[in-house]
Amino acid sequence: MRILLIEDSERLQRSLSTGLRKAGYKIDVSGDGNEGLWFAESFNYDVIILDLMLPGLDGISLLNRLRRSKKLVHVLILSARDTVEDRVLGLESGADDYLVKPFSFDELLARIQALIRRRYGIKTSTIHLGDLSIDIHGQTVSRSGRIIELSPREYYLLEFLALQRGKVVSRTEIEEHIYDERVEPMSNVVDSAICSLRKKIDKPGGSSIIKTRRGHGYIIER
Amino acid sequence: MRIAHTYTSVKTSLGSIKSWLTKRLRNKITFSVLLVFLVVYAITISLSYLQMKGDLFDAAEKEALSTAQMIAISIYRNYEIPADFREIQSYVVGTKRFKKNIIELNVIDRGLTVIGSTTEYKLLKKVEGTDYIEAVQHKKHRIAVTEETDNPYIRVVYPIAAGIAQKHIARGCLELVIGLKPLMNHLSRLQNNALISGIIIIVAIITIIVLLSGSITKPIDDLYSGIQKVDSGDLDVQIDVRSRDEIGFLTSSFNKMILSVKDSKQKLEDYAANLEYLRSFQDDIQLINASNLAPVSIPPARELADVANSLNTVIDNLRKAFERERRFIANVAHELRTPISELRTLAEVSLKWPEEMDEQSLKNYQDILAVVRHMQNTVNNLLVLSRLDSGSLQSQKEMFELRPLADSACKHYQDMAEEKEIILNNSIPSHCPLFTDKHMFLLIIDNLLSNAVEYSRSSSTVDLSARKDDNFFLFSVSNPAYDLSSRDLPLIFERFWRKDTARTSDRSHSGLGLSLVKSLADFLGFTVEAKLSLTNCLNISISGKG
Repeated sequence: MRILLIEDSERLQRSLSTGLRKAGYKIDVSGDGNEGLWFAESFNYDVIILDLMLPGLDGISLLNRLRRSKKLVHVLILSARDTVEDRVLGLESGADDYLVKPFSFDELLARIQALIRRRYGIKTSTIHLGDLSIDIHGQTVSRSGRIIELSPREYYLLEFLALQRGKVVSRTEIEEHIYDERVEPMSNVVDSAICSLRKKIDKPGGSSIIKTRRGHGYIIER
Repeated sequence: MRIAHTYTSVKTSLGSIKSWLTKRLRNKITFSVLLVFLVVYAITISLSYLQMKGDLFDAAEKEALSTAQMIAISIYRNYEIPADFREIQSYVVGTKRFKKNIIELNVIDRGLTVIGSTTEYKLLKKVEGTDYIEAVQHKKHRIAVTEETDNPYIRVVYPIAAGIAQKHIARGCLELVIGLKPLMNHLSRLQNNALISGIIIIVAIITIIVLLSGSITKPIDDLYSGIQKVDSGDLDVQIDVRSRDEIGFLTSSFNKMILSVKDSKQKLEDYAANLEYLRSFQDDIQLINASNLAPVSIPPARELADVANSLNTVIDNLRKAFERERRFIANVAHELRTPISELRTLAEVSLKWPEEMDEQSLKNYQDILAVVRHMQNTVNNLLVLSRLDSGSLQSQKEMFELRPLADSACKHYQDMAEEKEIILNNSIPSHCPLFTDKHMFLLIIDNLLSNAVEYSRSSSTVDLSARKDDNFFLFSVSNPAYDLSSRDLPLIFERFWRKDTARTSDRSHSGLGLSLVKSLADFLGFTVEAKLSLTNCLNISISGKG
């Protein structure tokens, strides 16, 4: 999942991006309103975390311009402004959630997950694929109650495909959403990750849950 | 008092002077002058009238006698007694001088027979013999005036001896009656004239006296009516000084007195107004507090205006200082949120993956997180307080159950309580609905619990209880507080107040909690009460309608 963090405090940028990256998200960071808007309009993010007091362009104006450009990305405002009026203004400007600083990191994670679920139209935190179940909240995958050990990256790959069941997901999309800037372009990291994931989740001898569409990408069928 | 006394005595003496002047001077003097005049005038007029009348009558008698003589002579000249009186009459009538007054002329012979007569004398009495006898025999004339009748007359009986060449001397008399009406008319005209002139003189005298006495009493009347006006409350009276005599002096003194009375009255009224203002001034001052710093109204009196102005300056400065303080607190609290949030995220993110840390770092991060939470709590409390102070906070009332709210608050402090082996005893009934701002009430419970857990000794019990009758509810938190004395009770709601700074120096309590509880309860319209039981158990209760 790819997240854009627009926040002018460098310390908060650092610890948040560290935390979110450890939690398995791909994070882009911007400390300036105009730059943040450019990021938001240029890439497809699952969630944008937006501070309101920003240099260059303030958060509310940024949000307004983003919504005018018909970007349907989910936005979570993270602000020290805590009055009801501020929250109402933020939500009315098109934000999907509003969290007041100082906040609990766990709460931020839970809200981000909720926004991602909303994005992919899932109400519960568990996705069932045959006898395979993915617990988004616990970030675990199990078959018939037995936990399958996955690396975080493998898990997010599975989650990303499972969330978009029935839809072909291209390698580029996977790269964008699962891997951050450190991945070399044109590498076969996605293919090898799919390969190792298949080994772990597929029943030996059976057909794979993740199908390959040559020239297009991968799909988990409904 | 002195002025009032003087005024009363002046008024009384003026009243008596005025009544003396009007009654004695005008009435009595007028009366006596008129009386004297009337007596003198009446006597003079009467005497001169009588004198004149006598003189006129005498003259008339003489004239009548001479007329009789003239007639007698003319009869002599004819030397005979006219056979026919008409002849006589022709004499008589022919003489205009006689005709005017003569009413009757009788010629009477010796034998007292009327031998000639005019006809006009109709009203007269019968001839009386004695007069004729007297006239004929004693050759002596008789003359008498008769006034009684409507036609007063003079009757002359005059002896004559008429005869021709003395051959026929006939002794006889002639009786001449002359009417006095013209004379009486003249006299009565004279009488009328005297009367009229008397009346004119009386009127003139009265007028003169009235005018004269008026000019004497007018200043006093003015003075008196001035006093009456003053009596009815009009102090703008000033009386014209018409003369330089004692009355004039009195009037100008009166004017001065009224001016000074008016002045004193004005001063008194100013004084009263100032007193009135002082009262409202006092009220204004009593109303001044941190939440009401409206300037006091400026009084008219200069001395007080100066005081009010300087007070207003102080109030203004105070208001600005409060405003600055409020803004400062709000700004500080707000500015602190970002670093707190940085610190908190840093600590939380680090603690989320503890396997990457050694034990010491883990403990350090846990401490950091605890400090951050406390800082966040303090800053939040400060923000709520400053918003309550500035009135920018709005309550959103809703119906909710108290028990679950208190349970969630207890859960929040459970770890801290367990650490100190404190038992949190929530005995709030399961059905206890409240209608107020849920979030603010949670803040109240939170701060009461935080305070109770913080200041209770180990192994003690914190009790939460509540009851609700109809609309009235009472919620209380009690805990043993051995260090607290009843002297401290009024202070515990003060901001940043702590019983003993040394004792709590290692604790993370700012002393804002109870102050916030009080402010929130006040804001929501509840009553806060702190009581210390005999066993030194502190009981803080929130009560009200809700």
